[in-house]
Amino acid sequence: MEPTAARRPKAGCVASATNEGLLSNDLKPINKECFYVAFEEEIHSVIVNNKLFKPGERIAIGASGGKDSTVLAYVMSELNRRHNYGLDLFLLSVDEGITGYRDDSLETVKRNEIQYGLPLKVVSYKDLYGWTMDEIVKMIGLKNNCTFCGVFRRQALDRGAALLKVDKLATGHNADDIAETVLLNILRGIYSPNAYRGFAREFIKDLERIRPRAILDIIKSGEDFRIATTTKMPEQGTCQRCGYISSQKWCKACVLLDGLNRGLPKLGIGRTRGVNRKDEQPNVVKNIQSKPCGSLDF
Amino acid sequence: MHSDHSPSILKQCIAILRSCATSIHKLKQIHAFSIKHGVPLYNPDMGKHMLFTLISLSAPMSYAHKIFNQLHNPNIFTWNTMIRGYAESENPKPAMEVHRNMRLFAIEPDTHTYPFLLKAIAKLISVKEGEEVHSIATKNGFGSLVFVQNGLVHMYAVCGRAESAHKLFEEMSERNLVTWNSLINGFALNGRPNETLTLYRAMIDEQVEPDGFTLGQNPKTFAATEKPSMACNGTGCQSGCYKDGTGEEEKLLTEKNLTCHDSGDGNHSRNQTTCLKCKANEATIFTGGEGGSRFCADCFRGNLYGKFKLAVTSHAMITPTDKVLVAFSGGPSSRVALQFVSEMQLKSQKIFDATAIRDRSLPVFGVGVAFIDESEIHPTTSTDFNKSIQDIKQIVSNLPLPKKELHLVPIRSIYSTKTSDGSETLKNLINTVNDATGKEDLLSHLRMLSLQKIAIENGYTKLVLGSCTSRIACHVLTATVKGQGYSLAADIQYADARWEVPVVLPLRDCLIQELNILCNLDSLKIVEVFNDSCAGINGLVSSFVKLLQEENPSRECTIVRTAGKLTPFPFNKIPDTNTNDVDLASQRRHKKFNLKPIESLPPESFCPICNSPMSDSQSPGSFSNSQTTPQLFGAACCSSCQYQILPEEVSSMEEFYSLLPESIISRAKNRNQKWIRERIQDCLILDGEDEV
Repeated sequence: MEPTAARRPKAGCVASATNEGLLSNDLKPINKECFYVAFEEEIHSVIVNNKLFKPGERIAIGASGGKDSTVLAYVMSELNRRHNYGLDLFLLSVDEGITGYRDDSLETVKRNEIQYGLPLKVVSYKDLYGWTMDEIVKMIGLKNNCTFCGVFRRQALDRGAALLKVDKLATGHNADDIAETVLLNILRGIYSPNAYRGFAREFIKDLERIRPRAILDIIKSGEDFRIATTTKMPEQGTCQRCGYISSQKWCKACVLLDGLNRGLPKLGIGRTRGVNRKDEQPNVVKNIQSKPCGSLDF
Repeated sequence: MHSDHSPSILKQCIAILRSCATSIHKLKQIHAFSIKHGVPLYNPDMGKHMLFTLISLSAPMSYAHKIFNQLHNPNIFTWNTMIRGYAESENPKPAMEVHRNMRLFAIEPDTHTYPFLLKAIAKLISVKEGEEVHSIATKNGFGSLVFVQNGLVHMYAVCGRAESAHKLFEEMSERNLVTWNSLINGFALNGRPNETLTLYRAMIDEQVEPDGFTLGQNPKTFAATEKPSMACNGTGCQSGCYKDGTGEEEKLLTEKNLTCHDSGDGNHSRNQTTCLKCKANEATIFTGGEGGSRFCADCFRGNLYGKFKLAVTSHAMITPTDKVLVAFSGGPSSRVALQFVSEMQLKSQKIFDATAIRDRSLPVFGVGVAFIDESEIHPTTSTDFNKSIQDIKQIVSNLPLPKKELHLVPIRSIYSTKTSDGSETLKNLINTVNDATGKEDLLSHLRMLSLQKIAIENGYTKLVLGSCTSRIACHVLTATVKGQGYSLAADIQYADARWEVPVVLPLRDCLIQELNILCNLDSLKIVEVFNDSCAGINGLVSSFVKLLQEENPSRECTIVRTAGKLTPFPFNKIPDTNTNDVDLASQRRHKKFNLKPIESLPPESFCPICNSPMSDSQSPGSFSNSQTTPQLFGAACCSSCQYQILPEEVSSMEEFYSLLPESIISRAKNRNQKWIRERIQDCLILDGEDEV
């Protein structure tokens, strides 16, 4: 399974629908019908030029119910039909298991299922990790549970795709996301609260208002940067436990899961080299019932 | 076998452990016995006693750590034991990690936690960690405990912070012999015999009886002074923890202390207000930059000049035979650049005067100042403008001797042949550009063109720009946004020799805040000639960077450092001049740093407008003859200039082309001919080749 991203679906709809009409990718105003054609054909050419798919492949479309993935689902099903890609498409959603949180978006995805005739598979954190977010929150409290949700979500699509034995995974990442990544890489190196990504996003929106082309230019810059051939790239390893890509011996999700299952849920949060340095060993521990640390007295 | 263990077995095991575990071998046997009889590996009570015994036996910490990792809900005693074990081991570093994890698990520390931890830190000589632990201990309410304070005094003393140790000592309400010993030995260790002896006397005065550890470690310190009779050569040390003072180790320790001084002074000890550099005067200046620092006025000045000088010497920016032209806009950056270059010139003048009798003395480089008058483009009243010009003249004439030539040149002078209507042509040229950002950028390219022209006509060999970190950080982002990712690396280096007169940026490592502070401090006059407010992309980026910088004062540095990782171009270093005696002498004076080897790359072609190098993919089509047309010219420009500067319509493009200064047109011709020649070089017959 190699994850692929449909790279620039949104590049076509560089926002700013003015009164006269829409703006196409090369920023000339065009009407609605032409926009559809131009937009879909551009994605088609990206798929063809980069040989993204082979006939007969089983493709999961990561679907959150948001606009990016909804557009992706529509375009993929449309192009598959129009150009006879011969792909076996289906929608893949992740349910974190937070009561009430996914209800709306899962509804949207279910609508997409009917509208575009794509079967929907929902994988839950419970299926993938054995814990729902609600259970995790119950265990570790209201603080720091974002760490779990974030780490688990990062892998959930990949794990779900592996679970369902797909060949490729299509996601709705678009030009804005890539431009944002380029910028964040330039601004990197500083720890900052979550607001940081939002910061960059707002900046990109401002740029887009002045010069819609800026987003594509940022990506071009990112592609053209003169990176020394000697630059050491981080080596991609795999988790010794689950086989997922990881720079460490164990991937972060496994570390967190291990902590959860051993009743030391805070194990994976923060820098934990000291305690984590242990030999690989199956859990001897049977009771995962957690007692708050440090409550025993000598 | 992991069935529920009976409490009696557990009790028995612990009892055996206490009485019989006299060696690691026996301990392992007891461990095995306990497992066999159903005490699980993770039992915290068993583990607690196991660990304690292990550490008393000074067993390897790896074994202890393995046991520790198995434990369920270890209590504070067990955590403390681990910290203590590491603190007493050869490698005390993990003690800190254990403590960190302890805090992550929200275990409440107790009175024993910090003394052990501080012992480990003192062994590591890591004042930064020490200060961190100091603040944590204070926060948790253990800051006034005498054991903790003793540990802190010891830690500061060993880390070369005798002042901090003394300050803490002064504030202590309760002192004991260990406190005195730690402090006195600390001063002795830091090579300060006078204070050591004074303290020793004070200790006697307070009727504290000295023991074998007082003044025990450093008899050599007193070799030169009156050696106190009671100084004994204490060897084995349990409370003091210093190594025995053989010469080598002492030296090593002192060196370590010095490095501690420098590295550890970063973010901590906010309550101190002494200058970080001289540690004597009160700090009055607080800067951002990497981690933020505080300086007294003199040290601040010295530090900033030091950055400038390091940039100049390590990149061979100015050699004694040079004649440098400083581009002066009136703003703080170029004002400081001008000041520093003048100071440097003054210094080498003094050296020259002092060594003039010897014939091999180095000549002094020349300095000139250029101001580009852009009043055609930026509307300003003539009275204001004349006033500004007067100010600039005064600034330049007030610079230290020797006298510097000032070139006040209007930007229209780039139209050399038709000077009379230059002003109108220039205005029209700028007006054909639609994009606001494009206008600004074109103007800055023209400014560079006229600076180069002044330099060439007056025989200057280097052009000094005042671009500072903040400015370069903005450029990194604007270039990225404009799609100039390929050429970006060319613009942000210390030296840029793609121009006829190489351009150097000696203030590349200085922040605009620092430059502003210096201007205020030394009342360097700043002249705001043209209202330089940026619109469009440039303005947006600079306000974004300003926002980032306010939120975190090292962000500009980070941006420049990140972009600095891009591969520079071959022209990003000052070309080696012919070696003759003078240059040899100058090379001796220059500490040339190991510059990153620049990979050999295919020959570059340059955009005729912005002079940025272009990658193969955007290289222009071929020019078969030296004639260019507006279309061919347009095709030869980089994609960024094509978009934001070149007009789209054919008629406007023709007008634009006709208004361009001759130098840009000829650059398009020459550069591209050169490029073609280099391209087909492999097929050309070289001079020497036909003889073979």
